[in-house]
Amino acid sequence: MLDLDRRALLKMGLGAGALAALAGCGGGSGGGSGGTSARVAWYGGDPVHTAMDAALAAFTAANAGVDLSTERAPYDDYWDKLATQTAGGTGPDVFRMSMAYFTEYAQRGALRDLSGAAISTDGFDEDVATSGQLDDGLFGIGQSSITHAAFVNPAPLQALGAQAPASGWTWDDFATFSRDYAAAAGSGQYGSDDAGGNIQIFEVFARQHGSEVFGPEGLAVGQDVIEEWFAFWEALRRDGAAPPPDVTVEAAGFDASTLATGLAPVQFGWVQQITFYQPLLPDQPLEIVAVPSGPDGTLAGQFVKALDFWCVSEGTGSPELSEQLVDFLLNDETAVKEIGVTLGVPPSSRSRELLGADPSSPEGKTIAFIEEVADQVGPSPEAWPQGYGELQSTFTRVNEDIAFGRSDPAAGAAFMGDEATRVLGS
Amino acid sequence: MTTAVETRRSRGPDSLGRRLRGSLPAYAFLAPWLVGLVGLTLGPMLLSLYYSFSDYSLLSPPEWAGLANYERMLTDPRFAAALRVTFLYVALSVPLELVFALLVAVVLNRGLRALPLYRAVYYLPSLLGGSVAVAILWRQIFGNGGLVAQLLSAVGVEVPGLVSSPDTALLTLVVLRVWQFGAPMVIFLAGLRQIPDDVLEAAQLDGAGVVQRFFRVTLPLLTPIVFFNLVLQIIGAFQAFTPAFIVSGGTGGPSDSTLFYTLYLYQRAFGNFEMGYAAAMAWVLLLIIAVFTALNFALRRFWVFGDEAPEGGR
Amino acid sequence: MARTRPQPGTLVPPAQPGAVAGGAVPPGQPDRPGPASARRPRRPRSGRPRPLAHLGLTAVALLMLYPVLWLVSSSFKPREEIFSSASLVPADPTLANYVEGWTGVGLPFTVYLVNSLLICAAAVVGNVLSCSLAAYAFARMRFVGRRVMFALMLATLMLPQHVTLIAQYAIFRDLGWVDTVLPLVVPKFLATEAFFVFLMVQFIRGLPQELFEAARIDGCGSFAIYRRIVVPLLRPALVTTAIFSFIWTYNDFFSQLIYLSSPEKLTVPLALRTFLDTSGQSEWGQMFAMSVVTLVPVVAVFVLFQRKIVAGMASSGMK
Repeated sequence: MLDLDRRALLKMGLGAGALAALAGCGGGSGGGSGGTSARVAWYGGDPVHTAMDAALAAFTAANAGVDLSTERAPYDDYWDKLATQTAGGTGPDVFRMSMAYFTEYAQRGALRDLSGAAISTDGFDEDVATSGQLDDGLFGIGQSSITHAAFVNPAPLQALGAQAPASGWTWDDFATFSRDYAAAAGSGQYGSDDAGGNIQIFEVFARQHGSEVFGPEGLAVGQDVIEEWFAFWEALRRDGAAPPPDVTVEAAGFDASTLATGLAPVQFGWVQQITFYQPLLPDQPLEIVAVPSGPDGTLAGQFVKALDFWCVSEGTGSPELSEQLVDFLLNDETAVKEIGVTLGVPPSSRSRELLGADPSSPEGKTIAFIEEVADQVGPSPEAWPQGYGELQSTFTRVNEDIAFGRSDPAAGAAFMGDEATRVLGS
Repeated sequence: MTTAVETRRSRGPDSLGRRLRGSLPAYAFLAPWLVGLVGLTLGPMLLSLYYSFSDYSLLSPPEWAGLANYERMLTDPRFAAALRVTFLYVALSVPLELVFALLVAVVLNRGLRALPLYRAVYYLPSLLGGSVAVAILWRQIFGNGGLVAQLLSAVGVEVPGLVSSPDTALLTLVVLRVWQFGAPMVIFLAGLRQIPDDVLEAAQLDGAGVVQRFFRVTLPLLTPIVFFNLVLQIIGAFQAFTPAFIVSGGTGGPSDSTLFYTLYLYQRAFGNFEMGYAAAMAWVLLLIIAVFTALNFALRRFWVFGDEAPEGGR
Repeated sequence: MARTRPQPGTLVPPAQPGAVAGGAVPPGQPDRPGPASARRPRRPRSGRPRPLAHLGLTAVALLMLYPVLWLVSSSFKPREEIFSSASLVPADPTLANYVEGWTGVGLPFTVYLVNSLLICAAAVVGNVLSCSLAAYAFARMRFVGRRVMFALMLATLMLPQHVTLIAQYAIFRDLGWVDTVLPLVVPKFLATEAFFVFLMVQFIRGLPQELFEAARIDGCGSFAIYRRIVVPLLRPALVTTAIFSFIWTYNDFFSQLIYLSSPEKLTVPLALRTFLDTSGQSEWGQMFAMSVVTLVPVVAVFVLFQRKIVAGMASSGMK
């Protein structure tokens, strides 16, 4: 038989060696070590990734010896990962945070208080500078202002001789437009994407009907309004004016959206997302119009707010570096130019001038739109409550259930009410 | 069967102290396992049990909550959905997989020269099936306009995206599991080879046809193996995670139709910071699996051949 | 007297219930071999060629392999061709998907491959060492509490991993081991995979008693017996353990998902999933190319050790 001793010894040796090597890779992780390295994470479309890479490259060029590692994900996939990492105490040092989860993370103590940090917010629009305040602390710095929008692709409309929508159109106008377009354009074409599951566009609708979505006691909007919303979209789907659920399921993300794949000429979203959609439709310039109004025809349902922040993790191992990085991303000239409007409209007039965007470019259109609607929109709501993120997913799921015929608008609205009570009540 | 054990020399009174001292070498060998048992299994199990009675976000210490998590399970519609989906998955995929495995094993066993080749080809999916890569592939080929849709429309059957419709999404995952029938098949093959030729020949001489021989001789003799595969596959199917996670993009959709139990558990624990609820779900899963396994063992005597034999020495 | 050199697997009559592996199968591992047992070398009846059977079997084989073959062939197709043709032969083969996909997740894929392989190697070593030690004790040694402990070990086979998951996570978090490979590797050195222990126990029990008696008489202590006699004779079971340890650890997406987050520490399945998230909808070609890359190690192990794998599987299930 073979030499037993040698083999056994070899195995032991391998084992010990491997353990040692792995322990070496194991230690010194999480949150950067010693203040010269940091992990940065953000969500967004491809243009955000390109912009951020460029901005961070400028940072490392200007700060020798600094080591940055980055993580990026689309919005939908970002939160699972962030939650897992945060729960394990290994979250990124600097990360992008959405108002949807901001309250939750802040109240769970996952965000560093930046009140005394060396981050300049001079010249920032007031709302943006203070939007990260919560309970006497500043847990995030607003990075942009955004508002709701509907993107229109005029090319297919011109081909059919249809009139393009304009800001100030009502929901009835929208419904007629969608039905007419779908009928004229043939099967497989829809008036717009299915926004029935989009709680953020619903927020505009709710405000048009006289109430915010959330109040101090939980859900403030009436169930009848929710039901009306779900019923509205169900009717559109039934008439073929909005896509059926299996199309919507596969249309997640910007690349696969009905707008980008040419299935619909209208897409709901946030104003800066035009910079994500436009590269996917290089020869068809998109236009930005407001979300349909209520019967009064005003844009009071919408609002302009800082809904995205830069946050620093509470347990970061590199606090000074992290704060320095946030300041850089918000104020440094190169960073501002590289980031452009991918994160939203820049928060200070100085930054907006710096961009010097050509009015016919997507960036220019974004800035022009915000400036145009700024004094027509309603007041900003309070920060979204803890649990908003979960309710956002629930809202999408309820709409999906209704679309698949497993539920109906009334039951869906009731379920949203129950869920809101459960999630927000705690 | 004799199990040789090391005999001890001392013949003195078999006091506990003496036996304990004699056990020391064994404990030395068992030391890693004991550490693992206490530190990574029993300890965490008890800790999990404690968490299941509390509200625990991992970011702050657990707060006692009594039966709140378990009560919530009773009214949580997504929990009900997760149970439904998982039971359906097990009920569909395990029998299908085993039947297929048995059939192919029987055919292969008739004596073919290329048997090792076939066996290898059928077994390979079992190794690949649990991987992220295959789940991604599955999601694509069953999607809108994917490979399956193309092939079906080539024969004139139009289907919408199979993974984006709640009626069919789970079926794609069932197909994925059945695709991995190679593992139980190999075990069946080995079992089939164990069946003594003379029994089958005797049956043949008695005039039994092929089908009769199978159902009256082969299958009954195979029942211990069927049992083994059944128990293993059920336990495995209840814990499936990766395919559902990847194919549904982590959502369990569309419309919670692929919300496997473990996926929902993961969402609660790592998506919503609800570790207490997730721990409660884990204990319920343990109970479910234990019940199924116990049931299997209890029913053994009714259909498994040779079960009456007394337990051999351990 | 029996042969002194045991064949792979020991002779166990099929009707013995004994300790049936009521096997707990962790996620992603639907195919564990069971206790080693009999394989009477019974020749399959080869004889008249059976064309019908071959036809059917070949059809099934092609159907089963088709998805994987399509995956491989699509990885060589440019994007437009992937969705327009279902053929297995690329009309316009290109390596671009591999080249571009290699760095598609940020770091070159070699980093992820190395991460995965290191973890797997450690898992193999850990399992082989710790499980063989425990198996020897259970199989050959008498000690207080043996029955109880053996029953406990068998019971852990049935345990779903989730019931210990949350608490383990909390423990590892407090130890500062999250986002390291330690939670994935250390348990392997503590014989937590009862399946392999059981496999080896059955194997050792089949070894002839005389060997041990002879060694005892020669004055060998337990560890010497373990090292000189058991380990070499255990080789087939060790090989089976090593192979399945490798494959299961490689594919263990769930554990890697919750414990690893830093971009440079990601393993191959995690990197693939990140790729899916960030570019999955647009870069299918690259996605497929990288998927193929992740499957290569498992397929390689399979091709190299195919006989042993199947033998390990085949000599199981008979209790």
